[in-house]
Amino acid sequence: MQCQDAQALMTAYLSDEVVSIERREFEEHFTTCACCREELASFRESWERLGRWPVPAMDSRIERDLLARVEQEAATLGPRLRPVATALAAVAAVLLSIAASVFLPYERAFQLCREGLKGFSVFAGLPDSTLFFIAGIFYGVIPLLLVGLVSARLMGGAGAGLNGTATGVAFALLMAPYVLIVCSALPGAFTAAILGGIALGGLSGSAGGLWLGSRTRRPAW
Amino acid sequence: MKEPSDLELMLAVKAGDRTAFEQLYRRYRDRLYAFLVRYTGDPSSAQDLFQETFLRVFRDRARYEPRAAFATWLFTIARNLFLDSVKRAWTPGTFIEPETATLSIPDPTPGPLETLAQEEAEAVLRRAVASLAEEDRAILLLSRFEGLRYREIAKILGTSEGAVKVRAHRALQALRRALTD
Ligand SMILES: [Zn+2]
Repeated sequence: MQCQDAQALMTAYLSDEVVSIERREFEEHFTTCACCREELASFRESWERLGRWPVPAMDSRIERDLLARVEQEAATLGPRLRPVATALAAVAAVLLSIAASVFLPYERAFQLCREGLKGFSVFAGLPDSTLFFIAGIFYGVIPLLLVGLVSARLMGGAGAGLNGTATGVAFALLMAPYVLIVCSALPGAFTAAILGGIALGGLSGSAGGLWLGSRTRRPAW
Repeated sequence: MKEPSDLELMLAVKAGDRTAFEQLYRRYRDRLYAFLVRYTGDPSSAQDLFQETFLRVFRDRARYEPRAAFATWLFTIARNLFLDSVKRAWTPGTFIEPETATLSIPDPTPGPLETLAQEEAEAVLRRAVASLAEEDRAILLLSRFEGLRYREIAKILGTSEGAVKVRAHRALQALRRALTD
């Protein structure tokens, strides 16, 4: 190795970046060349002197500030749609709602509503379609309240509103064909009223369930 | 129990794990802060950049690619933020004077004469490092204090390993000159 090559490698050598054959040749050169030995010693001195630069101490306020800002950032995260979780939640709610309609058919719920509300003068004379609408609400609100409660505890709070709404909409869309088939014997206005009630109940049940669930969930952040 | 690797922690952060972020933060806190103070020569800009860097790590966690080592990514963000801040703040005639910046920070342990000598030695170092070109300063500090390999430094600077090798040597030469002047 020539002096010129050896000199070019000095900083790399001090950083442990010279390896194998090159390193052997480099070190061999020093056994014979006093000039390069001196030069390396001088570089090493600057290198060591730089290394003695004390570590600056950090003010603990900076850390508190930073972690608070990260916390804030985490809280204001944009909502993120979770399609798989939303679809699963919607399907679960549909199954619950169908099960409910098997145990208590829509017409029966309508009759119960009419009888239950008969005693209140405010509700006297409500058209039948409105009563179907009110009955429908229960088939939406109860399943989604349950599903929302469970998913809020399983998933993070971020995006709950978005995912809750998406679940409610998906639920209503999935319920439509079933309701149309089951109520095929009813007048169209009644079927539409039941569906409307189910959709409204679904959306509000989802929101309520997520809200209740997130109140009891430990924060993810 | 085995300590989780940077990569494992960063993947957990990506998945929304807050404690993983704090673990990573504690692992790199002192290193990044020390680097920034030495690199900028100014504790107050170092503090701002320090916060901005970790905030950016958190904000951009989804963009982290496991191909890059976390340290490489962290120091790349820190350097880019510094370069941005210089671009933003620079107006003709303004210059960050390292000494005035440190004078405003009271020393927590005012001591005997030997502390004074130490402070003087530190001031000489600070001036010498501040006189280097930005890239040279970054290379020298990253390899001297962070123990990063030339290969990793090249990634941070967006250049080749060979170029880092050449610049590192030029930087140490310049530092030696500045220290003996
Ligand atoms: Zn020689």
